[in-house]
Amino acid sequence: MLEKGVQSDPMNERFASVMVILARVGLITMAICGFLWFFNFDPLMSRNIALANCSDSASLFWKAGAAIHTGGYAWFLTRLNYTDFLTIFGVSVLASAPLVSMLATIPRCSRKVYLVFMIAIVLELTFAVVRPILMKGGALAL
Amino acid sequence: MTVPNPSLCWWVWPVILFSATFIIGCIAPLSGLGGGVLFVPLATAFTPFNIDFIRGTGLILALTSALFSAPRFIKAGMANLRIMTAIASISAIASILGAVMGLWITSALPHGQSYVLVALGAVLFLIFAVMITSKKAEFPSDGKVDSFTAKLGLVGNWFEPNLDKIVEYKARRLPLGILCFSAAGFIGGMFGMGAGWVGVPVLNLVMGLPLKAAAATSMTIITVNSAAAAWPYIANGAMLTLIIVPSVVGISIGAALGARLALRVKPAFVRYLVIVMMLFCGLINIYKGLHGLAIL
Repeated sequence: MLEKGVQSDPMNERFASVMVILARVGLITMAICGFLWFFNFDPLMSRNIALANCSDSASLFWKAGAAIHTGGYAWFLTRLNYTDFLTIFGVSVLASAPLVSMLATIPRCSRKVYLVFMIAIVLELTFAVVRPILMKGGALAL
Repeated sequence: MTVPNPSLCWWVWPVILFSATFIIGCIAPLSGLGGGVLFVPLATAFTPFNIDFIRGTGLILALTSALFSAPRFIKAGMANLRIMTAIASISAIASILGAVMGLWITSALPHGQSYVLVALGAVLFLIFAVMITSKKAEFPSDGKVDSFTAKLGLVGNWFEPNLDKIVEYKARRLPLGILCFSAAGFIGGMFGMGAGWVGVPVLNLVMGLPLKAAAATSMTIITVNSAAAAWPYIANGAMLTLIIVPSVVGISIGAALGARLALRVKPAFVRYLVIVMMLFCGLINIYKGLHGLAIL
């Protein structure tokens, strides 16, 4: 709670509340599914295979260990029945928290100049999300 | 390149990672650095994991700690969302570019991992220089506000219980702040680290924010920069349950204890300990990189 006399920006409350919800959902999903994977509950890749290949680069690791081609998000979104990929889904919920919080805050923005900044951040974060899909197969398709 | 010892049980590395990140979580709040900045050099120097997974985990560590502390600061009025949007609207793109560049180097160049290790060692020396030279000002004196920053009305206030009064401040030199955060975002994206090591000094000394407001606002900027940089790593598969889960859980528990320890331990001692540790890791990473390039 803000002390009396401190001017509160109306967009602050919305931004913080949405961020807290998504951070909790992401962390809980990641931690629970991660622990299930550690106890060998529905994994695609076993713990020993993961350890044996962990010095390979990320793309080689998934290719050698599970015959999966990474690039984009289908590599884990199409395998959410396995706990190792549900863990990565939890990570992506965490990574989406600032974007969703910013989107939810835009209607509360009172000054045009900050609206421009916020829309710019939303566009940049959206670009970060969709770039691997748009550039799939290109030189920057990482 | 180090290959994991096949005779080791699978649980040995998760236990080591949990213990190490727990300690990092304890000392990070005392040293003024984020968890990712300490995790990446230590993990690249002493674990067999590929640098792709280490950088991906480092970013998620920085993101997680920022996501859980930023809302508290924002609700208390300590973090300035206006300053955050002005800076992050430029620095987020630099973070994405850093992440794409970092992953491209390791996947496209024959000795990419070695190049990244040498560059990481050099960055650790840069962080060392920033830590040694930057002085903190709890309440910086009022300076001249440039016309660009003044037009944006970057002012803020919060109630400071230690002083029992409302602290008011005006930001200045926004263009320089944006430039510094963009450079830090690029480095953070490339090496999987947060930007707290440069964010707090820039907001405090360059832009004139009080120390508490600088630390809080830096955290909110890290949420955007780290999230922007994390997506290329997620898309590239640089996320591994074996590393991420023990590290995030370890650092979260450690940070909760570290916040309590901060009241009892002398921060100066921890700060010097961390500086020495980072220099040591910097030397090891440069050695490993040059060894990989067959120079040493």
